[in-house]
Amino acid sequence: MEIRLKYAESLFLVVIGAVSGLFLVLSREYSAMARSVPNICAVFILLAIGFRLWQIWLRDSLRGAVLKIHQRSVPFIAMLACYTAGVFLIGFILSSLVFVPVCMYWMGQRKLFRIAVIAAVYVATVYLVFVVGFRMPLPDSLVGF
Amino acid sequence: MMYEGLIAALAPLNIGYALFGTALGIVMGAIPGIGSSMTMALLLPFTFWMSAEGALILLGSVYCGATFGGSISAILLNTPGTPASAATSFDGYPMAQQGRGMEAIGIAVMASFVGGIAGLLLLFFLSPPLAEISLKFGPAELFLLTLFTFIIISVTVLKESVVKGLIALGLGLVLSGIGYDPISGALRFTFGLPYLEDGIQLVPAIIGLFAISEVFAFVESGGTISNSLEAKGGLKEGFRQTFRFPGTLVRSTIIGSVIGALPGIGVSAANLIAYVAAKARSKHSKHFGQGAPEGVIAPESSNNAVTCTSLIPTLTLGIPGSSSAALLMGALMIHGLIPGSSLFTTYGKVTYTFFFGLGLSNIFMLLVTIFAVRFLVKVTVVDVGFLVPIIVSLCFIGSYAMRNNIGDAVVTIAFGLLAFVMRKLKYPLICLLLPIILGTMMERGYHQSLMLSGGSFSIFWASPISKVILAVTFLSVVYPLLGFFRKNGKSVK
Repeated sequence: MEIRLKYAESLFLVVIGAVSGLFLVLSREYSAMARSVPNICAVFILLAIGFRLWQIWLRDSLRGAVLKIHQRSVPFIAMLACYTAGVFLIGFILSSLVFVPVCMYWMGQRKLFRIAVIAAVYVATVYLVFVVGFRMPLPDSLVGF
Repeated sequence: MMYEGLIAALAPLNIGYALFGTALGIVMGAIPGIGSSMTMALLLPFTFWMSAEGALILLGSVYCGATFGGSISAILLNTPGTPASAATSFDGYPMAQQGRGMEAIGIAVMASFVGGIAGLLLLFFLSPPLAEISLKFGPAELFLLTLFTFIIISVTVLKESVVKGLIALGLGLVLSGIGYDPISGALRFTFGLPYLEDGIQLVPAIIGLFAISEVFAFVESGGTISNSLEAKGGLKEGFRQTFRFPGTLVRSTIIGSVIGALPGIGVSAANLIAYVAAKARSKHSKHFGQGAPEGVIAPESSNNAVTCTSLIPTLTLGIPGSSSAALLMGALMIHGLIPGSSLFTTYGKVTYTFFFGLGLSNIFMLLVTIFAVRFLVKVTVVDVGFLVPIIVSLCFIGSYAMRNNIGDAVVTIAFGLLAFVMRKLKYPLICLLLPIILGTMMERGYHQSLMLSGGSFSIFWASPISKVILAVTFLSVVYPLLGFFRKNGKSVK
């Protein structure tokens, strides 16, 4: 997937600018001491963003440049989101037992037995080392296991 | 007393503690997010039944080992195991990609060894005077030091893309404002979320910025980390390379030693400051970021120097220089030892046994690495299809384990996505990271200074130390500008 770099960077800068602007607005409720440094930083960012946008659009510094996003990146973001949700809902062990082999298969590994063994050994090792050995709790599920 | 300490350190049990602690520290330091503090905290209960010397040697060895261990994953996987090794990945990982992983690890371990021994010598002989100097660093000096760090980054790292770096710097400063105001304690920018009251946590942010963003790179590239199946260079070549840049080695060791002696700045900032300073002074600055040996020497020698000198304010003044030093102080107190002059007089034998134990730990760090490196570098020829889910999963463990809070794992993913976008758009990650580490300290120093001076800015150039920092900052800005004008003047002629 290709996007013109000037649009991609401009969108990124607009988001950063919006966050900085939001911080500026929110800081009006705080005391003078609490808002002084964040306000200086937010104004600084907005000025830098303004200058960068000028470079991109008026000086056309990114003429012709494209941003390439690999076709695997977006599905991987979705997988990460599902894994995070899974860790929260069904706990680390179960969600890892699902995520690790699925991710390996999706990344192109096709030897199912090898994938299953690696996933099982890895999760067992994590459990033994961290939970049993170091008594370090891992995320529990909301449903009790 | 030193002689008695040496004999006690060479007792078989204490040697065993040093070896075990170092090896464990290296392994745990290599896992992103675990690090020395957590490992030491987990071991602390086991040290109750040990002698004071044994407990201190074990925990101190973990501290040294973990500080180095983070560089292994930084070099081989571009995922620093600890914040202390963030800068090591900038040049260590490109070396691994070029098939020079063993050489990079050789540089890292030798630089760590030199930095550790130098810090230890300072600890031995200069603890009291260095402690006095560290007391002279007040809020104004700390504020100026952080400002100097940001400025020198602007001048060196950002040469390639000044505006982008300044935007990243500003974003980092804004994000560091989330949570409790360091002076008034007022809550800022939490959006009603209890999780944000403590601000953005450093470890999850670093794991996301480096580890998760690197995972995205693996997903896109596929294949193996190393572009070459043949190992070029080797451990011995790495050792030789370390001593080919004596200026960088000495300078970075001094930077780490000084920063370690100042409570509060910590090893997370030391490796970045040393890297930036090395790049500024190097004749090969253009090679930084592409596998320059100096880019590994600088952060590694500085971070291991910090581990020893951070004990100076801890042992002499009872002011821990880092969280790991705080745990060591806890171990001291558990065994009935109180930081202060008595540690060097009444309990001098225990203290010097501990110091010699740290020396043993540095030696074992070399030996363990020599033995294990051949197995470790094999990860660079493993298909990333196997590595990606394992690294992601370990990142979850690392970020969750610190506070048992799933929010930290979410922060890791969020920063990972941010870093992925920044890398695509060529925004420097170091400029986002450094304000997250130092932003709160800078703000605290600024406000405390103005409160002490009654609102007068003259406090920022009142003390001799402030004047020195201001002068160095001024020269750091003016010198490159002069070079720039000189170069332009020549091209016009």
